[in-house]
Amino acid sequence: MSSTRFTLDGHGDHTDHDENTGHEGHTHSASVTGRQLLVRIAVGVGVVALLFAVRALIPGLGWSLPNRMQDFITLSISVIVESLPFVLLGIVLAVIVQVWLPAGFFDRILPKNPVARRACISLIGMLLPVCECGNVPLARGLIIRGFTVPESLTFLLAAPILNPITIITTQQAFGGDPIVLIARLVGGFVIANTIGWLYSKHSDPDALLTPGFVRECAVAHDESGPRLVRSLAMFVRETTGIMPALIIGSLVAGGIQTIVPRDVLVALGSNPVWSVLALMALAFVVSVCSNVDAFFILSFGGIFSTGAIVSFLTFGPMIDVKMLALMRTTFTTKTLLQVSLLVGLMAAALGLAVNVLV
Amino acid sequence: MRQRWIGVVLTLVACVTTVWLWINGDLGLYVHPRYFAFTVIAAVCGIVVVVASFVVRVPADEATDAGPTRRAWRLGLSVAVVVASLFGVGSLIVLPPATLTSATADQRSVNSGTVVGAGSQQATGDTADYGVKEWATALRQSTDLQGIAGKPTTLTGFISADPDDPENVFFVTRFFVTCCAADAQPVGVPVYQPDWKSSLALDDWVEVTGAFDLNPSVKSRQPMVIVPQQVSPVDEPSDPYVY
Repeated sequence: MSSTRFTLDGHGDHTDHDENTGHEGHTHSASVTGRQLLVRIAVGVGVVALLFAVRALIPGLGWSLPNRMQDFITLSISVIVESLPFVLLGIVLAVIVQVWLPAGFFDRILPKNPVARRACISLIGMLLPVCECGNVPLARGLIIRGFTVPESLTFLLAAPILNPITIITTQQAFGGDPIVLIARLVGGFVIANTIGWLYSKHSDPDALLTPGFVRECAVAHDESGPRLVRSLAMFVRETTGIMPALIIGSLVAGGIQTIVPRDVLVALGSNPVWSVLALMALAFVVSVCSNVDAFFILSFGGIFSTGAIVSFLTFGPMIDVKMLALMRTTFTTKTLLQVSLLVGLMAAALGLAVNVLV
Repeated sequence: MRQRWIGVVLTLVACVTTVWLWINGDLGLYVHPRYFAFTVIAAVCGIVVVVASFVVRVPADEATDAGPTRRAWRLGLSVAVVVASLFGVGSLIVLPPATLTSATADQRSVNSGTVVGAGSQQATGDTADYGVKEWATALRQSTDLQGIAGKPTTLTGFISADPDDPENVFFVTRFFVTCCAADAQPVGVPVYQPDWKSSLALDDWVEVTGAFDLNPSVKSRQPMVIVPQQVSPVDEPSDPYVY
């Protein structure tokens, strides 16, 4: 998505190089570069203080908006504030994976057989419990680190479901109805690995990625310099890719929620077929995080069929408005349409199967 | 075209807003209290990392090798992204924090979900400390409506209209939040007060004191309502949502 080139040491000017080295070593604080460093830090702190001041002074104006506009903004902000920590955590994990893990780390511990390898990759979420929005930067980091595109897709789709926090919250919410948890976990695993397997047949996996991200990968491989500086550079790069997508995804999610009446979905109720599609539509719109969606849908438990809830809990973490905006930073629109359609069909089939069996 | 600073600026604004909301006790308007610690710690760390990243010099993009049309299109897209982001961020930093309003309550249909959370509410035992959520659940689940009749209650919430009889029945409404305001569901207890709009308005926060009775309204689909002795305006509480 972004096409900016980051230049470090070799490309940057000489002052930068000295400055970075000084920062890494923390030893030349008396030198000129040290003073420049202090100036830059002071500018940063000043900007933070300025933002706080602006934020603290403005409410005195006492603006008031029409209800719907106000709610649109409240909903969008709540999605941003709720997702922000996960996104930041995801970016930090991506930085760790890319900059701090030794090269070939994953090749050493993962099986060689592609199917077994993807199966293991879909369980990485058990070790790095980030919900879906944090998984996007992490998946980007994994591609840069040498994962193939189908492998990172498998990770991206499986990790929000196959992670300890999601399992615990689902168990808490649906403890009395074990079919929900089992169907969610098995369904998530199967769907993610099926998508991974399908795309492993693709003749040119790199064509699935946006040109901007392919360039980022190339740049990332060329980087050299102190690890701390590379980490910060990657943080800057990743926030530029991810944050606009997060904010736009949140605005779209807030906008749809303000416009589409919820009772249209609820009215579809317990019909075994329509309820599945209705809850998938709800999951797509609400964009609630996979770690807590079980609690959210529990409150609709009396209205909707079990299969519909299972579809909600498998489709929602993989595909929703916010996720599409985030994934668009990395994958082409065509890829996302294909993946959404495939995941949607499989999640619907899973829900219908549960409705038939239960 | 896209400048590298946009990412750190957006991150910084979002983090500063989060911390500021927390300091002022307004974070609860957007996320469930159980995420306060996680959200605030992440935001503070975000601020620290952003300030640290100021020492890394990251220049803007050089022209890409794409053709002129494609470059113009990309430029337009980048501008659109930046404008939308700045709008989002502008609302974060400029607008005062607010709760959801009756517009969202109507749009999501009051009591359309069955709020389970606290287990089933049969309203046969002690109902003295029941709030809006508990009563809404009890009214929905109870098989013994006669048992509820006559029970006294005092409830605080904001006003949304009963869509079936907006002249005579309103809901004392709260939003029930499981994670963040995006998943808020309106729960409400119907109050029968003919021509309530003469003294009250939508979105007013009120304290209603009264007792339950069968609904005198013929148009409303609510079987039981509060027949109020007193409806007094109150300030919006500091924690407007229920959990």
